[in-house]
Amino acid sequence: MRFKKALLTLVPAAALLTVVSGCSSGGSANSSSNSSSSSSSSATTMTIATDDGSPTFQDNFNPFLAANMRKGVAWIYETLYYINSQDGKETPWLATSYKWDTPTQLTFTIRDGVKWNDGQPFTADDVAFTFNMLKKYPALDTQGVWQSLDSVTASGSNVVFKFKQPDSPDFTYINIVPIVPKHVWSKVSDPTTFTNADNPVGTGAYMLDKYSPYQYTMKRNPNYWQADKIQIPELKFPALNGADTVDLNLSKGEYDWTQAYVPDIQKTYVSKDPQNNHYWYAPSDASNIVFNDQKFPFNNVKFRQALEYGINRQELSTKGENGYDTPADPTGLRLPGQDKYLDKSLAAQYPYEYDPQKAAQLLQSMGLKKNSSGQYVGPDGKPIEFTIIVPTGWNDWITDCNLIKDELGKIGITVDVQTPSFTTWMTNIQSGQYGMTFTTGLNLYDPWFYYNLYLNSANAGGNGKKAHGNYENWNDPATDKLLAEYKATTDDAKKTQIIQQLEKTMLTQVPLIPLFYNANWNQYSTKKYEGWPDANNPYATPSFTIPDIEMIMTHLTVKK
Amino acid sequence: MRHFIRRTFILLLTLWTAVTLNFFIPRLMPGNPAEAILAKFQSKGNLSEASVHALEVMFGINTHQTMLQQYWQYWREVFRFDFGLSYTYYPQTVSSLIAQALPWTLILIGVTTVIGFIGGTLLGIFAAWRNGTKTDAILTLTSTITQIFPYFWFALLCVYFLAFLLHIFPLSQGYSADFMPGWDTGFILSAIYHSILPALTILVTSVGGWLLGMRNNMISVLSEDYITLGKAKGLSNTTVALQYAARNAILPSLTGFALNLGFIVGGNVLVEVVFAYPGLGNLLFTAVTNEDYPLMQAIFLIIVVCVVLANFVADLVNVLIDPRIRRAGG
Repeated sequence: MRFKKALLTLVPAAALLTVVSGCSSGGSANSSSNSSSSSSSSATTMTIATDDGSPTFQDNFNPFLAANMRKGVAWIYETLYYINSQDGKETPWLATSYKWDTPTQLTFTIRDGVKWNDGQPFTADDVAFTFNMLKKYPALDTQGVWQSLDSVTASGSNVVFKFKQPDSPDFTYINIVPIVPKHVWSKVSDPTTFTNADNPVGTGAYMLDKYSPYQYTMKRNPNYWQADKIQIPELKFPALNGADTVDLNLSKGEYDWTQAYVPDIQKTYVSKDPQNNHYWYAPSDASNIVFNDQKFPFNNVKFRQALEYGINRQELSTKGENGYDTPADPTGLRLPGQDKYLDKSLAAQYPYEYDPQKAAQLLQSMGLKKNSSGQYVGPDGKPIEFTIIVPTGWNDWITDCNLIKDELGKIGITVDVQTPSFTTWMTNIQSGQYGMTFTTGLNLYDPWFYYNLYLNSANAGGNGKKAHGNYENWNDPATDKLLAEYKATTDDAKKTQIIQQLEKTMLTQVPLIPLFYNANWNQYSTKKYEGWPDANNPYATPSFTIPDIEMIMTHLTVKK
Repeated sequence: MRHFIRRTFILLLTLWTAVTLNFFIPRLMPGNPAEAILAKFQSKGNLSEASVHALEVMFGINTHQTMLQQYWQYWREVFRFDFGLSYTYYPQTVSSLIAQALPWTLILIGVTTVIGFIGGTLLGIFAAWRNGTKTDAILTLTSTITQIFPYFWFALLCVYFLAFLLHIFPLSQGYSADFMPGWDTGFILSAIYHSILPALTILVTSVGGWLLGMRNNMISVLSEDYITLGKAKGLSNTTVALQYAARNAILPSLTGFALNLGFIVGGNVLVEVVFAYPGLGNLLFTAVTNEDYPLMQAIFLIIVVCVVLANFVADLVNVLIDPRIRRAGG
């Protein structure tokens, strides 16, 4: 779930306080009225606002319990490789190299001389132990690496991954798994409820220093294998919560680095110090409009194409998303990052620009007629109407829905916007009881993940089964075959070819409509530090997750 | 005695109904929050059947028990204070979260409720005794105004002026981030310092109600014949005011106070959210916004039980203080 959504549930108090204090900007410069900045900290301490307290922290540094772990784990744990989801570039990390011995065997060579932050040596054994722990406790295997894995064994400085069947995309998932020390975790009775609160042991650049329920600090790991690249001595993580408004503190310059949804970033943040206050919202995968492909009118491809022409992506991006989420390509590819996969001649045939007239032509070619009040009428004689549902409180999506309602209303299709609770929404889209809704993106480079999630019939619902990802219930044997072929090959040329055929499905069949690229919220200050990733140098995706963080920390320098 | 037995029976019946409703309501709601959490994991699209099953066990869903079995299970949990694991704060248990939050709420809301009641009532007696004087007019007018303050608006004003502009008090939170909760002076002082502003806002907005209620009861009692008798007997003003008048006039206020005591445990959601106070009110707010049913259910249960018990106690106190109820034989 996007952090933005989490912040949208803040109480009106926060909003009001922002309004009240917004009127008096410049009133209290450089004060430390912020409750979380009460500790005296050195000039080079970096304050990172990302961890939601609501109102206090729970002491949980278990990197496998994603639901409620402290974000600080990303500074403590590392992965075998770093794959930048912006451009797909692979950087050796805890492993120095990897090789596909056969389509069902992958061997990593582990880096020499790496130490855990308690001084113990890091070995191939730790890697094998970590993966086998996920096998033993499937609840921790949220990346699903054991879907295809058969065994993971250490031999010398190598770790050998054997697969039940070929599964080349699993490489990405394997490299999201944080490696934990055998000498700590083998003594844990139940890793699914282990909070790892006492001095979490990792290989990462930082280690936990002081912890309190309202704030924790981290210090440099003296044993870090790239210690020479780590310049910032201390990190501070204050608890964020509804009343403690992030926007307010952000505009006062309290934070060096934030991942917040800020409604008017230019005014709230950048204008306060145009020299130093910046933001780069790196794109992740597309958010989409989905509909039940099994139900009238969405079961007709012409109707789905009409929607492509009848919905104005640019307007949704500008008005609904403040321009932060840029319009997505109709193929679902994340451009320009995934440019090399794009079949340009095919894309030129299906431009899918906003064109209400074309939409109307397509509807008429289905044999649909308008009634006296200007609505298209279905074969049953009733006007074509459907509801679009999104969770209550997700205000940007709700704005988008109202824009879609207006746009389609102009064409002659009646849309009703409803905002149930998150749980009700989830239940409805899983069981296919909805007209239209939105889905949110992943943050992975390989386009196969996107296509597999939304188009694989294994993720579809129907006949009492719940949908997971493929909420539009796209059941197409040809698509399934392509996805399976991709999994089975490690040949890049063949992979590109398969992706291009999936693009063709997207453009000609329109199983779902890619809408805009989800933004990774990311505000940073260059007052004290330099070397941030940005649009000109996207060497990492700025999200507070393992392994992106370690990549960024090795690039940041303290300003002289 | 008959009165007492009947009351106890009603109490037990109310408790049973409340606990039972608390069990059934979430189960009759559309959608399943634990399933929704699972769906968040699954929307990554790569969970194996084994992982799904393990997560189900972790969150205690799809246990394939009949409703009746679950109901018995639930009653056993209620008596053991075992409400399972929170969804939001997994792997924390609901009981440990409540144990952490309860002291904050009891101290802040408890102390302010008691002070507000005692202060308001004494001032009410005073105002009534001075009925018609300038003192009475000022007290009554101020109370009328503070009583209609929307709490939210008043608290935010206080925060803005006293904390944000003047820095007299911290903006929010229960104590400074420099401390770990524990029995050391630094932490305790920090906690007291952080509680002054929320306490002040609660007192200002709550004293007026008690004052006006007491004053009006007092004035109607003061016109009774026995008060004139008391004065005629040459008793001192204090004796007449407190022993004769206030003792009768306080009854309605006392019932209100007892009810309020029941509500203390639930914390004051508005206060705690505005001040990011680590109490039960805030916990409840978080539970509701995250649809964390195990946590929500446990907090609601505690509130209901406390309110029902407080009601029961208020009844008993009334019997003890008011001879008329005793005579009537209940």
